[in-house]
Amino acid sequence: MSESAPYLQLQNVHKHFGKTVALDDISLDVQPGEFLFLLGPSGCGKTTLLRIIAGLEDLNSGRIIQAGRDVTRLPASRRDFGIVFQSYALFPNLTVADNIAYGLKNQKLPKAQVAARVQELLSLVGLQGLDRRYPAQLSGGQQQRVALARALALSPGLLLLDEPLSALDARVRANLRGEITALQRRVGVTAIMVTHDQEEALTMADRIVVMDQGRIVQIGAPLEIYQQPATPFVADFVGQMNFLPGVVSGEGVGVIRSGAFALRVQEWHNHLPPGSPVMLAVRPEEIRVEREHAGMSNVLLTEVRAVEFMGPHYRLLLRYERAGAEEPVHLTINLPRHATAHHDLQVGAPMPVHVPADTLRVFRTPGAGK
Amino acid sequence: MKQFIAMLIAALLLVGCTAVQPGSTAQTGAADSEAAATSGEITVYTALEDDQISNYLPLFNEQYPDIKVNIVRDSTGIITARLLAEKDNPQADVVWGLAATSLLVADQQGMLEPYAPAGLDRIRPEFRDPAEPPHWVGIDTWFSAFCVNTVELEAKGLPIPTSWADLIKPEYKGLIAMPNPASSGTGFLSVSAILQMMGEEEGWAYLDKLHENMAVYTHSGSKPCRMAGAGEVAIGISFDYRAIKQRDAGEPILPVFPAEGSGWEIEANALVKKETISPAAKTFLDWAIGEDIMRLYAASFPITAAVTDVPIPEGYPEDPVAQLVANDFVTMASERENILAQWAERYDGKSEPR
Amino acid sequence: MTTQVTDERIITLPAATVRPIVTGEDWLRRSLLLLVTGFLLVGVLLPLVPLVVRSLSDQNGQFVGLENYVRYFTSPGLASSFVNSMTVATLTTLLAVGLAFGYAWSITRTCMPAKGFFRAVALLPLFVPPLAIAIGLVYLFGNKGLVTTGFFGFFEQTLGAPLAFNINLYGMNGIILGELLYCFPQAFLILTVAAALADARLYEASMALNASALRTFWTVTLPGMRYGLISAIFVCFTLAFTDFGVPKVVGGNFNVLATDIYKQVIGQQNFVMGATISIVLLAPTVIAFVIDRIAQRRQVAVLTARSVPLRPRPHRVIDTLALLYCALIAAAILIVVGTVVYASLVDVWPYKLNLTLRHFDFRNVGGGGWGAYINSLWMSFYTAVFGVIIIFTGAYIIEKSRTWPGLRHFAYFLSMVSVALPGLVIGLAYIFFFNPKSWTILGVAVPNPFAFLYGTMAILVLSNIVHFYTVSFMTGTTALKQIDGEFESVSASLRVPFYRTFARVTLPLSLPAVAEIAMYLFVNAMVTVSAVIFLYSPQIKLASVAIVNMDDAGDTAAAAAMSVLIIAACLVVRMVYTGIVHQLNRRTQAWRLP
Repeated sequence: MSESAPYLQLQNVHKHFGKTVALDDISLDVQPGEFLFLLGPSGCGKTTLLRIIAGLEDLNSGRIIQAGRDVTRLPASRRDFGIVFQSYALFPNLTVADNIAYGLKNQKLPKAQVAARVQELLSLVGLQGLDRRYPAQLSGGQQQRVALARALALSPGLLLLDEPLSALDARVRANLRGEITALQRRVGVTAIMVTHDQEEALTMADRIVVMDQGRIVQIGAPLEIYQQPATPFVADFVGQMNFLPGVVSGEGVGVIRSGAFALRVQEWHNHLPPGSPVMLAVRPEEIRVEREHAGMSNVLLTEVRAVEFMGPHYRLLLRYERAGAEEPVHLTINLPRHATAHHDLQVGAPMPVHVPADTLRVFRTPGAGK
Repeated sequence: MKQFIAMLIAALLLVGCTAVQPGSTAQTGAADSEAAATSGEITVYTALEDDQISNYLPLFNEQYPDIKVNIVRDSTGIITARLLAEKDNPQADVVWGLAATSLLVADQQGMLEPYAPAGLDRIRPEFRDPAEPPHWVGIDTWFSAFCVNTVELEAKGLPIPTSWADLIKPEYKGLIAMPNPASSGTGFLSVSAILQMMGEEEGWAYLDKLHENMAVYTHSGSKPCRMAGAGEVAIGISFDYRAIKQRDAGEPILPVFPAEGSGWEIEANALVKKETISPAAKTFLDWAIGEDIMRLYAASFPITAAVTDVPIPEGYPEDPVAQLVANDFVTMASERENILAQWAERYDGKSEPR
Repeated sequence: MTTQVTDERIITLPAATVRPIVTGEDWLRRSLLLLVTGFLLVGVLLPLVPLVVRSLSDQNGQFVGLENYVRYFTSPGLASSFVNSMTVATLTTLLAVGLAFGYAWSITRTCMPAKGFFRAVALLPLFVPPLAIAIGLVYLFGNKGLVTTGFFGFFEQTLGAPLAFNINLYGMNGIILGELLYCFPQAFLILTVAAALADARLYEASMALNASALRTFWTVTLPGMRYGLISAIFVCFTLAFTDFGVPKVVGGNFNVLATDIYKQVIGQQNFVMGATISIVLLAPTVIAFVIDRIAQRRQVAVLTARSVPLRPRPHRVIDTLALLYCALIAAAILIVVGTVVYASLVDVWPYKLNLTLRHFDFRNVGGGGWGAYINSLWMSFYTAVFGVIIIFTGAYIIEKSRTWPGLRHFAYFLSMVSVALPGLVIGLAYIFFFNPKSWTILGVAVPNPFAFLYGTMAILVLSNIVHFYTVSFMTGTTALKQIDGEFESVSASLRVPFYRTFARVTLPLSLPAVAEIAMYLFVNAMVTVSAVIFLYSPQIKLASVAIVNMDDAGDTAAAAAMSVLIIAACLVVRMVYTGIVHQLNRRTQAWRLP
């Protein structure tokens, strides 16, 4: 990561509503031109954090520095940002052009200059010729583009996006993802977007901040978050994940026992004593079906419980038993369509799978041990 | 008449003694009013009827064209409440034709300025506050009367009631309206007259029976008569002026003055005590008991404060004074709260009589 | 870079809050909030102080603690008055809200014809002075009433059947009937707004799930209108609980708390007891207010950005039933109002039934005649203009700003509490508060800065604005709640001051509500009696007071005639309102319709 001066710095931001802690000691640097995502389930504090960055919400303690300027105590109107909301918040009684020009007109710019800037922004978001329309006459995707144009009108240093795509249809949403990223690159504005949609974050972000219950759980590039989730929560929230309960075995370093199987993991830095309960995590696409598994390690002998046709692939729900009264373990894998010919996909059919050691992540079982 | 005067003097002397505030020295008197002001603007609070005012006031305007009179007229209860509520900064300059019992309350609160209007000597002594100068001066009396709807009674084949005793006969069940004594001075007048005439025990026993016959209690003293006039009830216990007026308006109303006698009340004038007392207010008070206006009063009231040559209006008993019961104002004033409490206990909150 | 976070979670609540810089805009917002709160303080709260003081003193002004309350609560009639008040208020609320719910539902959710007409008729009772409603009821249901006598035996002669019904008007039946007419339009106003806020998607989902109509009603319709229903119940209950106009005229011996005040204050000039009961009367409203607040806190936005407005679909049976239902209620309202008009034209009720216009010549009756009518028009005009400015500004600053939350809640509370003040109480409290040249506070005389208002048009307007504040405020708040809450945030990000957004966006979007508030204030100011009867000055006589005086003097027909004039003025204002809203909708159609 580049070590140039960050554009935006949050230092120990804390916010509570009554006795409910909304944000707990949030510190974060955002680099100039970066597209940062705040990702988390609803209620995790991501929107509150965005509003605090915008100055739309007060904070209880901490500091916010934007472009070298301490803006902690500045009201929204004295900060430098543009914002887009899920509801678009377009003024319904003003035309598209008037909506975009709303902030410009207040700058007491000459009329011609305002008009030129509006046209420029309209073409930037691909809405040329719609300037006389009212918001209600536009589609959802078009409305959101107007909101974007309006947010960029004053050329702000920071663009804030609060779930801008979640009110749109799936197809429009997919199209707009690419457009917004391209637009952000072209304008070069530093941007922070709030979303609860991990796919959105993975496809669009330079970096993702995963939040849970008012805290930052992990910060990293999309691939890093996906491949090396810091906690089971991140693992589960970002992408699909299988969790296999197990116990640290004394058979060797990095060997975990799950049911009748011993699984070796590559990454072993937890130094847990044998007998500690742990949770192994592995992505569905990392698990390989192996009919010829003799002599292979990290093999689980499972049986098919359910099969779903997903188009390009089949999703298989597999199961293997554990000792005694313990719940059987379920896992999901994706099997490409062309590979199905070689396998018996009947429910109850045996399905041996191989879990490569380098794809397994180990987490302490929450609540167990220290 | 003698009995009446004796009662009044006794009563009013007592009231006067309690009403005079120690230290409220009278600095004004008849002498001042001789040089009466002929211009200015005054506010007059009155409970006289609207049609009476429009009859009386032109006389004043004719005589004093440069004095502007602002009239605030409302029912006795509202006007009294307004007057008393404004105690800290009175708006009225003059009270004209308001129940003497209301003025006694105002006087007890030190709201009245003693003033002897010109021509006070012509006023019968029982019609004025005995203090010198008086705190209030009466102009007329009014008393309880039944408004009987002859058409309705005829339709039902019932005789016209002539006495309080008639009203409790079972055939009048559900045909009578009377004002609630807790809401209306007229109502209290009648209840207190009954209690004084019959004595406490018998009086309450009578009221119990009357309650059995009652169709509805109203919150205003004139309402029972209006209900009778519109046929809503057959008999309304109300007061004399109202009964005569509605009869004259063509309603099938026969004014009946109960044989046992009527409860009654004096209507009086007073000067309101305030920082600057307008001389025009005194002019008005002088005029309000003058000979000319007294004749106008006498045209609608059978008993006026000064004797006039106007004959007793048509429809009244020949000797109106004899109609009045012996009324002990002082006892009634002090007993009022107890009577109303007992009344409430007996007749409020019970299911509605039919 | 991977950040690991420890599991241990130390919950520390730092006391220090970062205080944002206060800008000029903030000060403008705060000033507005202060102005509105100041208005409510002077109009609502402070005038109650002398009332409270009196309730704690004896007749001579000596402090006696809670003695008056003890005396009141142990007085013989109280229990029954309280039970009566509760009964009347509960039954009225059930009937008014129930009937208005069906009416509002029919108008917003079906395709029945003549909706505009039925909407107008529903509001008609608002235009009728309370006393005129009583006249109408007496002429219909009194012992000589048209219904009671079967049109004076007309039905018996022509149809051979008596067709006469005696509903025993004087007493609880009359009170409930009168209060029903009084509360129905108010409930209807609130519920139409609530019924219009429906998300069609919920109904589609319900249909897709094959839910029965009844189940849809219970699971979608009712919950969606919950806030409106609770508000309507709150308003109706409070109005019926505190009103004394109707019980005074048709209540007979059926005592309620409001007439108890009347008896104490008007009948016996006992201000101490009147003040005590007034304070007691406030209690249920405060409780209702708290319930309303709790319900509102749990209210989630009914409409979101993705909501699809519900457009009713024609359905022959339902539309016909709805039409029948509305026609029945409208007929009932029109009959009462028609009776008032009839009463103004009949020569001598009920004995000479020939028609005449002579009652419209007010020269021979008291009350101020046509002059009073003109005064009332001006007073109502000022009430509407100043009222709408103050109330809408108040609703805006309370609903849409984040400044000084404590003060905003306080102002909200005051805005809601005014509905609990019966007019009689406002009138008396205003005399005690505004009339003295100085107040004695802890033995020290303090000059009264508001004394100059007493006896002027201003105090009449003030009392009216305060008297009708709450329902107007709720109308404004409801309208503002429908406007996207992020407009202010967007404006701030675009560095556009809030007042510009208010002028360019919020106000234009709220114009229908603004016009409605103005109309509501105007018509109520035209008809109200209870507060102004204590406050009007001899120079400013009022039409509504004239009605009371004329009726008092026995000139019922003249009183009805003046009522007809008032109804006419209100109808004209209502038509102007409809015209304005129509124009607004036409001009702004472009953005209202997708």
